[in-house]
Amino acid sequence: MTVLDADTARMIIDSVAGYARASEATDPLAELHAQGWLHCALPEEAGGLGFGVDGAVLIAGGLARACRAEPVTATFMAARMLALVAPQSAPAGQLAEEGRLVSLVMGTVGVEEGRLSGTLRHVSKAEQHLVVADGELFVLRGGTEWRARVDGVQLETLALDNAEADRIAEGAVVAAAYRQVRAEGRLVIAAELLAHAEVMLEITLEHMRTRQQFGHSLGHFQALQHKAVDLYCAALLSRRSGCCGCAGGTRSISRRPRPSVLPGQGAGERLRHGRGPGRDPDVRGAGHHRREPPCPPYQTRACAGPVARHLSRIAPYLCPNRTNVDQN
Amino acid sequence: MSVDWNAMAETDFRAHLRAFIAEHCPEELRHLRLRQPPGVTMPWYRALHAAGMIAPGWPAELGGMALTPERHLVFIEEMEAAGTPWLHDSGVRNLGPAIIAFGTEAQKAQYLPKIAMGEQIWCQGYSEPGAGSDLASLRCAGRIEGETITITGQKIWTTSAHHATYCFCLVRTSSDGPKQHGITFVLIDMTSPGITVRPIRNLGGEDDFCEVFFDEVTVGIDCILGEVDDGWKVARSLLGFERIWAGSPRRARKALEELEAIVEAAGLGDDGLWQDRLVQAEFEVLDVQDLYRRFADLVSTEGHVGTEVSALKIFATEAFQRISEWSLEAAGQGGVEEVTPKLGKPSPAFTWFESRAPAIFSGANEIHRNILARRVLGLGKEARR
Repeated sequence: MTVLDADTARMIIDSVAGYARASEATDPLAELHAQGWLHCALPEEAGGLGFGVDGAVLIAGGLARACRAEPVTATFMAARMLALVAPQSAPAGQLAEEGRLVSLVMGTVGVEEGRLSGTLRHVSKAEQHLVVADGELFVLRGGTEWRARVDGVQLETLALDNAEADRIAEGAVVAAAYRQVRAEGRLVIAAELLAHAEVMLEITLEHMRTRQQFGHSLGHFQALQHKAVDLYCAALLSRRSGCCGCAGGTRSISRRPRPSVLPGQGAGERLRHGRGPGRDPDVRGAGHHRREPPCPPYQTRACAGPVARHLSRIAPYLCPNRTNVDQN
Repeated sequence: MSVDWNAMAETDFRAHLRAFIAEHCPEELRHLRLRQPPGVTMPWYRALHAAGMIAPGWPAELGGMALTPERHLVFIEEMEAAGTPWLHDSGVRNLGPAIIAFGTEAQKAQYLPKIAMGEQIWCQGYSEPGAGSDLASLRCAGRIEGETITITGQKIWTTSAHHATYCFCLVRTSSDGPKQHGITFVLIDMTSPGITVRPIRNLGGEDDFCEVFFDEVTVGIDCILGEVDDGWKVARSLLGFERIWAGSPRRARKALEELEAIVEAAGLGDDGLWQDRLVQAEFEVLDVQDLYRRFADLVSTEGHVGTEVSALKIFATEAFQRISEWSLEAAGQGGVEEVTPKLGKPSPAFTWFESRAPAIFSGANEIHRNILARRVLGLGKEARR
């Protein structure tokens, strides 16, 4: 896995921005695969780019600005899992060579003589699914009964009854990798969501500048100005959190996780000994190799609006190592 | 001999501070919720000065510790953990950096050593009855005649003016041009004839604020900091420092500690709602902390902060309010029985009252939202970038 330097980060940002600006792709999956972004987390010897979470954050965030990140974010977690425990497995090869989607399915299933039983819900559309069960990593064939969610994303419920599955990794390394991938996945998803939020903020601000009401632009009215500032502050703080998260847990919940973070522990126990995802001792990621990596790309050259320009301007002191990344 | 505090290992630095506090800060001065008069806290102030630790942010050659932002936060953490008293240190914290940036060599020599020694206690004469958050509308007049400037007008919400020996003050010396023009920054000896100070009791029962009346108060023009009519530049730089100070995570962190203690004492630790709120509160404190460090870092590298510092001020003060409200709610009826803080005990009602003011001082949060909307987001007719 590579650790991104500023030049590489800039290159990724530029490539993603160029792709996002281009006209609607006719076959987005094939194009994302051709760019190497679907399998960016796989090691180079397995056909990937060897990116860690910082690279994925740049890619997912940049694509999300054009609402085109969906398969990348979902596939990153699976590819990262494969990179950590089964880089030479068949799913890794098929993803790298043919762009066949793999997803990492969260859920609890039972294993008996190598067969899986249980129900997995909200499963992303993919040809193959990775499932962790009893400390082993299995590969399941994807289903065909997709249902479109309200936002158009297709999901599936997999009911497994002694289903056949291929075991591709086992041992303590699987559980550790699973924890790590989930922690990194949270960052990538956060990058995607933050990019969406910032695009929405820009749209809102543009509307407030141009829409006339009672003889003035909407942005003239103080009540709306203050709401806009609150949105801006929320985005600013979220971005800062994202920078810190990429920096490898320089900030983390030191004592208390949310109740859902550590299922199985008593509430009092969680309060006393809780750990946040950023402090999970098993987590190893790109960010752990240095204090401040290049900042996520939300306000870089990919952005054209006035808010983005402003955010670019203040980014150096939010993420000092960004100083080598274009600020204009 | 000056010490390189930043070169010291953090554990050594903390140990040094703890030992120093244990030796020099009396127990009866610890963990007091209200600021005590200078006569009570000055021995501690002087002990810090004697050890070269009174001015953490000043350059070493001017008697400061020259701490990096991270090390400065460590300094604050240790002082707060030990409950050292709140000092009358506006001279060190606010004015000192402005004199260092804008003062003549004579002014630096005249004021900085005395500020550091605690010989001068400074108050800030900014707000007026008609010019608080909209500071540039101030009307307190300064008339320059020859080598003197004569001041007439009123200031209000002047913290600790009744204890101060000096006041740094904004006065209007010209009405031409935009309202930010024609303001002059003056350093005034509070013993000058024509000054009247009247304390104001606030909602929390403190009388830390004052009204200050200037009736033909005359000082030399060598008391002007920066250029005549260009005091807004000095004031803005000082406001930037003040807003960083107002955006310090220490209040919110203190409130979080109190919330934790109250939740535990009330037996709410296993309640999902309160667990969620505790986590949310900690997120907010961490957010403030991160943003504060970035702006503090900017000050140390660039020497100033931009308009965006308003976001820090808004978020820090409102996080403090949110957390204090949860404390009061968790404490239930018992939380409002006693408002006066008691040593070592949570005082949610006092904290709640205490949390109201920061959203108003250093420019009301509404004004900061206006500033961000217009100057950063480009909204409204006065928008400019």
